[in-house]
Parts: sequence; C-alpha cells; structure tokens
Amino acid sequence: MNTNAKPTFQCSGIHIHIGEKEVVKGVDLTVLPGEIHAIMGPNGSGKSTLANGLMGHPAYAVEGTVMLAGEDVSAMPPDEKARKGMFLAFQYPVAVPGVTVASFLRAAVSAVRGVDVPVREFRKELLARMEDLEMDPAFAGRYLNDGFSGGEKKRVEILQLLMLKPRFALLDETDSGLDIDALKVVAKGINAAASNDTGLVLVTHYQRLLNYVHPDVVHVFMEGRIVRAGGPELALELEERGYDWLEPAAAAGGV
Amino acid sequence: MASTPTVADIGSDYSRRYGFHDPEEYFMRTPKGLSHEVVEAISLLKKEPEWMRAFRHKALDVFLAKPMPTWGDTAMLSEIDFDNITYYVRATEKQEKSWDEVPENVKRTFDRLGIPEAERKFLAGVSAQYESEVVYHSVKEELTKQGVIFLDMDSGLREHEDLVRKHFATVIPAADNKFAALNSAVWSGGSFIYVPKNVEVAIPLQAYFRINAERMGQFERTLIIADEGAKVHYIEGCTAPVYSTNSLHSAVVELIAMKRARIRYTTIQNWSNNIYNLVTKRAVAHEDAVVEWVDGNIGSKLTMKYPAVILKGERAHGEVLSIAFAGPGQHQDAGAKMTHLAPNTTSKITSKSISKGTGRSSYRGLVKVRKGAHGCKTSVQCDALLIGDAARTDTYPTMEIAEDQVRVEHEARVSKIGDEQLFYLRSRGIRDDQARLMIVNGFIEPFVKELPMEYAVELNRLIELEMEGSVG
Amino acid sequence: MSAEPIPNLPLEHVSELSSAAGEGRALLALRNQAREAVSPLVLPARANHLWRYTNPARFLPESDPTALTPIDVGPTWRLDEPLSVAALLAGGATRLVEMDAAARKSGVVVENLHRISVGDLLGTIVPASHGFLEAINMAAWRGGVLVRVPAGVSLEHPIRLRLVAGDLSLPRVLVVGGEGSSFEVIEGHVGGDRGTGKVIGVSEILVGKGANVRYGLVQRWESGVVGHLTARARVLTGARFQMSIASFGGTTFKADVGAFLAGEGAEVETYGVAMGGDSQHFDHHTEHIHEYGKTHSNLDFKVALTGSARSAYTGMIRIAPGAAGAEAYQENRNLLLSENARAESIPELEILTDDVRCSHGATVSPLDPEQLFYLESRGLPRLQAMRVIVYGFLDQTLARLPQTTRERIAALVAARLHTD
Repeated sequence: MNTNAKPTFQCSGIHIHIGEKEVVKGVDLTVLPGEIHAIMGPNGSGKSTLANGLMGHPAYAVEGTVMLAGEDVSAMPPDEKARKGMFLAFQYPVAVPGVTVASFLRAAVSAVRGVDVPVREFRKELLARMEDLEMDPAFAGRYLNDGFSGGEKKRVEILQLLMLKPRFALLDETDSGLDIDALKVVAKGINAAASNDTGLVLVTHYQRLLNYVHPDVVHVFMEGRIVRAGGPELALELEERGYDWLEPAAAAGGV
Repeated sequence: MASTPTVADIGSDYSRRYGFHDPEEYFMRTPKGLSHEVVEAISLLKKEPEWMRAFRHKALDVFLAKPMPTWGDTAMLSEIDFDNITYYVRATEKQEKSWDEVPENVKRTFDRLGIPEAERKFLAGVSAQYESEVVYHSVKEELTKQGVIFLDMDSGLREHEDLVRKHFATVIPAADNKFAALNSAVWSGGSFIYVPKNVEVAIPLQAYFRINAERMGQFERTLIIADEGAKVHYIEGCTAPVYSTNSLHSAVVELIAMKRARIRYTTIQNWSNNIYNLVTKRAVAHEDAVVEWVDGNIGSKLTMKYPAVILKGERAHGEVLSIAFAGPGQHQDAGAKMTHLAPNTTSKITSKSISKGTGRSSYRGLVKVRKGAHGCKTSVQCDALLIGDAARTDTYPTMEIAEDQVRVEHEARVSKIGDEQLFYLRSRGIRDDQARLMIVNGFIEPFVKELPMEYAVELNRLIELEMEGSVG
Repeated sequence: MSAEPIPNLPLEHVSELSSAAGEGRALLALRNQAREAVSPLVLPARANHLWRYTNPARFLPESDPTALTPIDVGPTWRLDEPLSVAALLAGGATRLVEMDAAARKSGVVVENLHRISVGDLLGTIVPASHGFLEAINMAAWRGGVLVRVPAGVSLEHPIRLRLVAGDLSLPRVLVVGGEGSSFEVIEGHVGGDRGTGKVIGVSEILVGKGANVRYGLVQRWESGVVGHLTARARVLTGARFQMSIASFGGTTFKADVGAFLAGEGAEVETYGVAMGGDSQHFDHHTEHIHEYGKTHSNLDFKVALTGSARSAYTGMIRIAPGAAGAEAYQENRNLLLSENARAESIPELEILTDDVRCSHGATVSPLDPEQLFYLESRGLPRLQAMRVIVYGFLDQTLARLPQTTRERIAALVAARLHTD
C-alpha cells in the first residue's frame, strides 16, 4: 500500500434514489491506489444500489460527487467512466448472446486503452490471464455470460478486471455462489489487481472471501449508510456477532 | 434516358456501393406493360420449344385471372403498377465466358460490385445476371468433369431440354400464386443446376443478380436438382440502383433433393429500398434428404418471401434460417413453410428480425403435418428486436396438425435492446452506439456463422450501416 | 372459388320484438343500426384466418331470429352453493333472479337488460361492427341481463348466470364493475337437451378503475348444439381482469373472447381449457389488446382432444403504438390423444412499439410415453394413467383460478375424462 499516494477514488455525499425511495443516504469513501476496502452489510441494505449507482446505472438517480484520480466523473455516462479507469464487477452479469467473450473483451480493451490492440497480441494476453484464472481457453469463444454457471460468470468478471486494469474497481458480491476452489481463484485475481495499484472495494455480506483477500479497511453498511469503519478485525467480529449489535448505530445515522 | 438517382434512407453508402446506375444502353427491350404479345416476343427471342411457349401463355392467363393477395401488406402491394414495368430487358447480344469479353458498361457494374474478384477467391462457379439475361457465366473445370451442370436457365433449357422439362414447374406450378404465375409467363435468366449422384460440390456456386434499368422487372427462374447422395451449396446476392421509382423482382426457385441429397441455398438480398421483392421459393426433399434455406433480407421496399420445404420422403429434414432487417419505410414480410407429408420427417425454422425506425418486419409461417406423417418433429423459433418506438413487428404462425404422434413447438420473443445489456457493455468502456451494434450483431450471429466468410463480413458491414444513427 | 349460395337472413320483426320486451327508444335504435350492418348479409372471407377453420354459415339462424315464436320454459335450477347473485336466462327471458342479503345491501343491481333506461354502455365493448354474428345478436338479442356492482363493493360469493340454450337463443350479458369493486361472475352455458339448438351470445364486461373482476365462461351444452359466444372486457386504469374459459360441450363451438387493456397499469389474465371428443369442433379466438402503457397480460390456453375432435386456436396480442412498458405472454398447448384428432394453432403478435416484453409459445404433442410408462410402472392401468396425465395437463392452467371455480371446472374435467 502506498500511503503517500493521492486517492484513486473518492466519493462524497452520495445519495441514491430509486423512484421516490432513498436507498443510499449519504456515503463518503476514499480509496488509495492498491488499497482493498470491504463494504459489508446485510441483504437489502443498499450495497448493490451503491455499486451500480456509482458506475452510472441509468435506473438510479445519484446525487453527490465521484472523483477518479482527482477528476470529477460524477456526470459521466458509464462508458466514459470505464475509459477513465473505473470498473464494476456485477453481481448478476447479463448475457449478451452471439457476442463472444474474446470479441467483447477486445472491443472493451481497445476502448479503455484508446488504441486498437492487434488481434495476436490481444489473444496472447487474454490466454495468459485466462490461465492465471484456471480457465479453459475454449471460454474465449463462448457467448458472453450466455448459459454460464454462477461461478463461470464471476470468473469472467475477474478476467475482465485483469484485462482492463482499472484504477479503481467495485466488486459487487463477487464471492457469492462460488465453491472454495473458485473462491481462491477469484481472490488471486483480486490480489493481483491490488498489487498492480488498482484500488478495490469489495461489496459482500460474507466474511468468507476475506480469508483470502486481506482488506485494509472494513466498512459496515446498513440502511443506506456506512455505520462503522475499522480494520480487518471488524470483519471477524461481524462474522461472530452478526449485524444486530450495530442496529442502534444505523438508526442514529452512522458514526 | 438516365434519371438522377435519389438516395433512399438506407445507410449512407448504399448509393456509392450499389446504388449507382449505368447508362441504360440496351440491345433489346420489350415495350412497357404485360400482354400475350410481350410473352410471345420473349419466347420467340429465346427460340424456345413449343411447350415452354404454351406454358408461358397459360401462366399469363392465370396471372391476369388471379386477384392480388388479400393478406400481407395489401397497401404496399396495391402500389405496384403492372402496366408501367418493362418485363424484358437485354443488355448484351450474347453471354460471355471470359470476363474480358463482357461489354464494358456491364463489366464496369460487376467490377464495382466485386464479382470477378469473389469468383477468383472462393467460388466454384459464378453466374452474373444483368436485367433479364445472364451476361457472364463460368464454372470451374473439375465440376464439369464430374458431370455437374451449372448453366443459366435459358441455356439449361436449350442444352438439357428433357431434364428441364421433367422438373420445371413441378415444385411450383404456374398457378401456385399470382407472382409465380407472373414469373412463369415472363421468366428470363436464373440458374439451372444438376448435380449427379453422389457428387459433392465442396465450394459454393454463386449467382449475382443486378437490376440496372428503372421501372424494370427481373423474373429469374432457378431450378436445382441434387441427385441421390449429391451435395451442393448455392449462394445468390442481389442489388439494384437507387431510383426514385419502384422496380419489381419476382423470382421462382425450385429445389429438388433426391434421396440422401443435401442442398443449401443462401440468399443475401440487398435490393435498394424501392424494389418489390415478391419471391416464391420451394423445395421437395425426398427420403433422408436435407434442404436448408439460409435467407437474409436487408434491402427492398417490400419483401414477401416464405421459403418452403415439402418433406416428401421419410426422415427428410428441412430447415429455414432467416434474418430480416427492416429500416425506415421497409416491410420485410418473410417466413417459412414446412409441409410434413412423410413419417419421421423433421424441420426447424429460426427467424430473427430487426425493425428500426418505422420499419416493419413480419414472420408469417405455416407448419403442416399431414395425417399419417407420424413421428415428425418440428420447431419454430422467432425472435424480434425492436429499435425505436415507431418500429413494428408481427408474428403470424400457423400450425395445422392432423396427426397425433408428432411434436410441434413454436416460440416467439419480442424485445428491444436490453437496458441491462447496454449498461453492462458501457460499463466496460464501450460507447453507446458500438454497444448497440454489438448487441445487434450478437442477435444475428446464429445466422452469420452459417455464411461463407466473405458474406459474413459483408453482412456485418451492412448491419453496421443500417445501425448508424440509431442511438436512443 | 366455390359458388356458395348467397346467405339471406330476414330480420323483419325488430320493432315488435323491442316493444314486446318493453324496451326504450335507445335500445330499438341500436337494434336498427345493427340490422343495417347486416343488410345485405356478407359473410367473412374464409381466407381470413378467424374463419379459416370454421364455416361462418354454420352459425346462421335458419329462421328470422326476431320472430316472436312461443317460448319454451327452461329447466329449474337448484342452487346448492352460496352465491351473491343467481340469475337464470332461458327461453329468451330472465327466469329467476336471486340475490343474497349482503349483495342487496351493498347496492348490487341485477336487471332485465331489455328494460335498462339508457343504452350508453350496451354495444360499446362489442359493437355491431365487431362481426356479422355480433351484429345479428345486437339486432335480435332476446333475454339479457345487466349486472352492476357499485364502486368499492367487494362480494364474497360469486355471481352465477346460467344461460340455457333453446332451439335458437341470442342472449346478451352486460357486467359493469364499478371503480375499485371486486367480484367474480360465472357465466354458465347449458341446455340443448333435445339434441339441437343454436346460440349466438354476446357478453360485455366493463372493469372500472382499480377494480378486480374474475369472469368465468363455462360451456357445457349437450351434443347437437351449435353456438358462437363473444365476450369482451374493457379494463380501465389499474384494474385487474381474470377470465377463464372452459369448453366441453356442443357439436360446433366457436368462441371469440378477449380484453382491451384500456388504461395504464391494467392487468389481464386469460386461462382456457377445452376438452373435445367424438366429432366435436372447437374454434377459440383470444385477444389481448394493449392500448396503454405499463399494461400486463398473460394467457394460457390448453386443449386436449380425443376421438376425431378438431380444435382451432387463434390468439392475438396487439401492442398499440405508444403503449410503452407493456408486457404480454401467450401460451397454447395442445394434447392429441387419438389418431384422428386434429389441432390448429395460430398464436399471433402485432407489436407496434419497442419498449415491450412479449413472448408466445405453442405446442402440439401426443401423450408423453415416458410419463405414461412411469405411471403404469406404479400400478396404474393405462386408461387411468392417461386420465391422470390429461388431468394434470389441464390442472396446471386451472390452478390459477379462484378456488371454487377451479374445483367446479376440475369436476367437469374429471366427469368428461370418465365418459370418454
């Protein structure tokens, strides 16, 4: 971790509405390059809304400021945010039938790097990353997320993380629905990204992933707010005691 | 004579690539309108046998007696002015076997369309039809040695009269429908193919159809016979200049697949947006034969085309795989027909359509299982993608099942480009328009992957053009 | 083209019929307009798929339907279940109307349709222009009932209408559900004991804003009856309409049922089961017309055929321009249980805007031999195993109906399975 570095990601005063309902009620977060943060919270607390809203999902009305490496990206559409170095690993990646993983990723990599990556070079890189993630090379020719198992989808999300090399990545429940081997592979990918100076936020409600990825900061997210922040030990405490003991803090409007 | 082409709404470079027209310099053309005199003139010019002459005249009577269809896009159909169409136009005096001998003006056209280049690259044989007549024809020598006949239909009739007479109009009789009758009366050009027993033509045969003159009708006639155990793939492409007035293309295509034969017939129809494309295509599949229609409809003002397979022999298999792209002002009324006459026959129809702007695409299909045709299986899958709130799609499937030991399935889905798909792709840095194009290309991928590479590339490029400016 | 004789249908006594029934001027005017619409009578073209499988001439009355013939008195009806309203229409008149205390207290109105003061709703959902049979009914209907449930009223028990087919019956039903009302109507068609009978019926249902109406159409005529029933609902903003249609009887039966989703947020579900045997001929048409956005419709229609029965099913989903956010699903499954049974299926879609989700599916198949084998291996005789499978096939659809209706229709299915 580079303690003198400038924040790679910073958001402040984030409020998100879905229709009339306020789901995220004021979130501030700062992530330095190579830092790993975990946002933990019970189901339905608004974690996924936060992740999708920050990326610019069209269904959500987002207030507040999002800064990427010192640049205000709040008003940018999702593709522009991605080209500025922001990444979201989806909880439920959608299928795009007819579009292969390879052709999609080549288009994405070219867009994000701003240069047309030659086919051979791209292929070499893709196969190397797939090997890192213990993926069958045949995957490159399959249609994006079409008929993939839960675990396969998550691996492909991590594959994209490694190929696109973002400054900052949000991982939304990337650990859910994985068996232990897949979990280890995903963790390996996350650690690789972090050592490449990507700042990461892992959104999860299990402690499981944190046995393999060691967060610098753990945030507890309840009812649309971060109610507590601490070191890795906080995750263990949550695992032991659940979230109930934090309810008063949530009701009081956070720390 | 030549009028100024006007650019229709079809992506910016249709005009440049295909929409040009050459000066109309003709060796011979019949007067406008349709009559027994015109039919007589065509037959006389072609020095046809008496039976064909009689066939044409009878067909004309059928055409004149039959009412226009009362279904389909009757509004668009009613705009066709049959009296204002030239039914026969001949640009050259004779057909050439060497590209250099093709008259300069016609050659220029096909050069611009890339035909000789394609021939060198990947075709076993090529036929190029300009207006009513085939102007260039070439077949690789080894095919001729194997006994494969690949001729234009007129030469086929002259050189193999018995074979033609035996099969001509047996699959699609003149009285089948009004437009088949019209074609039967004034047909000219098209391909005649015969593949002998157990001969497999490994690389595709291709025909290229071009309408150059304004207000002209092209009525080619194609007959393909694959004898027992034979295998052939035929590809056709179509373009026309962009004129301000409409032209008519009304072809008849008959396929006969004998026992264990396989025929694949691929069409990439990219007529300009003022062509009425009213085509009858039907195949007969005998025992264990396989017939596949791969049909892409991108151009035309109105297409009405329902490729059919009559599954006549046991275990025959029929397949239609089609895509349609209806841009503003276009109506693609396409579909498929499967008639199961014999037991244990199977069929599959996959139809994908994209309607954009005020474009309208319709799937119209018929699956029929005759009593006694037990053990049949048939499935129909229609997917429609809509782009823009004025786009329209219709699904009119008909299933008529007179046998209980069968399985018939039909599924249709209609959707627009998914917001979630779009968000997903954009979150990876892909721009909105590129993301939409990617989704559309993915949508038609099952079709594209069935095409030879050159066609696949061309089709993707066409879709890209059609998708321009479709954000929102 | 075959030279079919030009049909002729005299409608000479419209005025006498109207005045004998004590109708006001408005109704007479409607009748006369409808008579104009079928003079001269032009039958629909057979190429039109709605009539491709059934000859329209079959439904034409043999004599002037407006002639005031003597009326045979219909059978009595023993009521054996709790009902909000029971009404019996037989022999061209309303024979019996009973209403329970709760319905009476909440202001439910059941009226002789001939006596309604204004005709402003009659014929607005199924106008004479709908088709030639609807026009004939409008000109010559005889015996009709209006059911009106006031705004905000919820009825615990169903409203049951029983319509008895005579030699020639042209009944008419109008149901008006007030804003926010909630109730179930069951329209049961019986009769034809003499082995003949012709029926041309029309029913209109208005489902007011936010109302929740369940409507069941159960046809169990005796063999020999030839009938055509048209039912349409207009479903206003935020309202829910559930229609069930169960077809068992008659010799030739054609039904044309559907709903207009005529306000934002309207929801319509249609569930159909048809069981045909012998040489019965069924022809069902369903329509869901989405006129507004954010509307939702679902349709599930099941057909099981034995003997040399024949069924044609045509379904239309139409999404109007601008009806953004509409969702529509349609499913038609046909089970052919004998060699000579025949099924036609035409599920159609016309989608005129892009922000929609629509799908439809249709299948025609025989009994699954694997299922049959499984049940037989558990000791069920073949016939019983077949019955279990057919029952299960239909019950998947019935499961979504109100409990009592489901049970009643299920009992009819079971009875039918044991007679075939």
